[in-house]
Order: sequence, then C-alpha cells, then structure tokens
Amino acid sequence: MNAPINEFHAMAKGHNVFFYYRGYVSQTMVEACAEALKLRLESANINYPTQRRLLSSFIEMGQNVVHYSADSLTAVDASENEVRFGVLTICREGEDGLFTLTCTNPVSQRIKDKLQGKLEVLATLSVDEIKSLYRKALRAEGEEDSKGGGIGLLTLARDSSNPIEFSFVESPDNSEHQMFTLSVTV
Amino acid sequence: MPNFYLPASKQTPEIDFKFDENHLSMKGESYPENAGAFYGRVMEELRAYLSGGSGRNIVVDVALRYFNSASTKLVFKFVEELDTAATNEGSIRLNWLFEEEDDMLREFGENLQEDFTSLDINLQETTY
Repeated sequence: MNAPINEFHAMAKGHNVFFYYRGYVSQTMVEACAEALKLRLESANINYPTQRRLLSSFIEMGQNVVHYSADSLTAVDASENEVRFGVLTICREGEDGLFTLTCTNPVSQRIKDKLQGKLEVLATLSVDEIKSLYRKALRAEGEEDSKGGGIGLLTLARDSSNPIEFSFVESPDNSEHQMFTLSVTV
Repeated sequence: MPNFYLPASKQTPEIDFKFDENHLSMKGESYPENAGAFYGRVMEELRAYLSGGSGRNIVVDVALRYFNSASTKLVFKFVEELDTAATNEGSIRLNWLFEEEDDMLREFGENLQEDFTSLDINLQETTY
C-alpha cells in the first residue's frame, strides 16, 4: 500500500536529499525549518561558516517564496502573514560534500524578464565583483518591486561557493506562469 | 525622552535604547517577514534621540548573530544615521560584535569602518 512513498523515500536517500519541502510556505515555517536545520548542522559538527551560509541562504530562499511566488493563498498586496507556494530542497554531495540549496516557485512573465536579466549578469561575476555590487546596493534606494531592498539575490550569490544557477520552464499548471528555479552551493 | 525597549523574538533582535545613559544596543537575530515595519519604529526612536541633543558621548553595541538581506539594508541605514550625527556629538563609539569564525560579519564590520569614518567603530569577536 505504501509502495510509492517508500520508493520516494528511497530515491531521496539515494540522491542525498538533506531537506525537502513542497507546498505553501509562510514566515513561521521558514523560522521553524531554520531552527531545526541549525540544530542538525550543529550536531553534525558542520563548520561555522558553512552553517551560517547554509542557514542564511535557506532563509533568503524561503522568504523569496513567501514574498514573490506567483501562487499565493493570501491577498497579493499583503505585506504580513503571506503564504505562497514553492519547493525548497537541500542536497549534499556525499557524506562530507558541499550542500546545494534549490528553490522553485512560479513567477509571472514580467517578473521572469526582470529576474533573467539580473541573474544572467550575476552568474558571470567573480566573487570580488559581487561583493562590490553588494556594497553599492546597500547604499541604493529600494526597488519598486522589492520587499527587501533588492539585495537578496546578491546575498545569495555572495555566499555561494559556485556561481548561482537558474532556469525558467513553462508551468504545467498555469500557462501565464513560468517555474523559476535557483540553486546555490555552500 | 523615555528609554525604548523591545524584547527579542526569534526573528527580531532585542532593542535596548537607554537614552538616559547614552547607551544603545541591538542584540539577536533579524529576519522578520517585514523588516521595514520593524526597523521603521527603531529608526524613529533613533532619529528623535539624535536630534534631541548634542555633545554627548554615545556608545552603541550591535551584536546581531544573523540578519537577512532586508534587515542588512536597514542596519546599514542605522549606522549611516549615527555617522551623520557624529559631528554634532562628543563621540559615537560603535561596537560591532560577531562570532569569531564569522568571516562575513567581520568583513561587513570592516566595510562599515571604511564607509563611516566619523564613527569610532570597534570590531569585537564574541562567542554566541
């Protein structure tokens, strides 16, 4: 009776899935997951800089879903208690390897166009160039579409060991949406 | 003006502004859903305090173990506000505390030292 779920669990284990969530995400959920992840990283004696980067990237990604996913259970103009759809995954390359964090959520065509331009640039920059852009962005006024001052993506790129990776694919559920996926490595 | 205190929550730092002692402190983690709303109140208090006097020797402790990108921008603004006021005060000392292994927060503090030269910014390693 439980064959599919057992298969799913075995597959997750085989692919070194460290964390997986698919569904609606809220701030409370991000907070609770971050707390559980923190304890797990501490008990596994992961070095402090990696812990910080992993938790920071996880929170940025979770909050990106809460703020920007096009699939929302709450009013589109809400700024508190938002609940939106996304997938958050953490995989580890082997027992002692790097962690890859991925988030996926639907976005509108307009947001896709905006993100794509920014991410194409970010993916080609060196660490020093990212840090210099980050310092400039700290001084800049916030962008109209942004709920966080426009430095979320720069923060993710800064903390990633490899260049950030991203993709957009047609949403299977909504012809007006693209599924946006972003990956970083810590 | 009366002192200002907000207890820490999991997502917001403790704010302890002892205006009567010229000692301000922010301590904890910062990743609220709406950082603008949280820091709006904090900045209002700070601005009122800074515009309400001069020639003071002010000490500010910032011990933020973690802050998200939205909070980062507001923490930067907080320091910017202090820097602007510094010429009007006796001195403003900013103690920037970070976990000793936290290279990102150390670097953030070093960048603050470069950007805000009217402040006396002191980097301090700590253990949380």
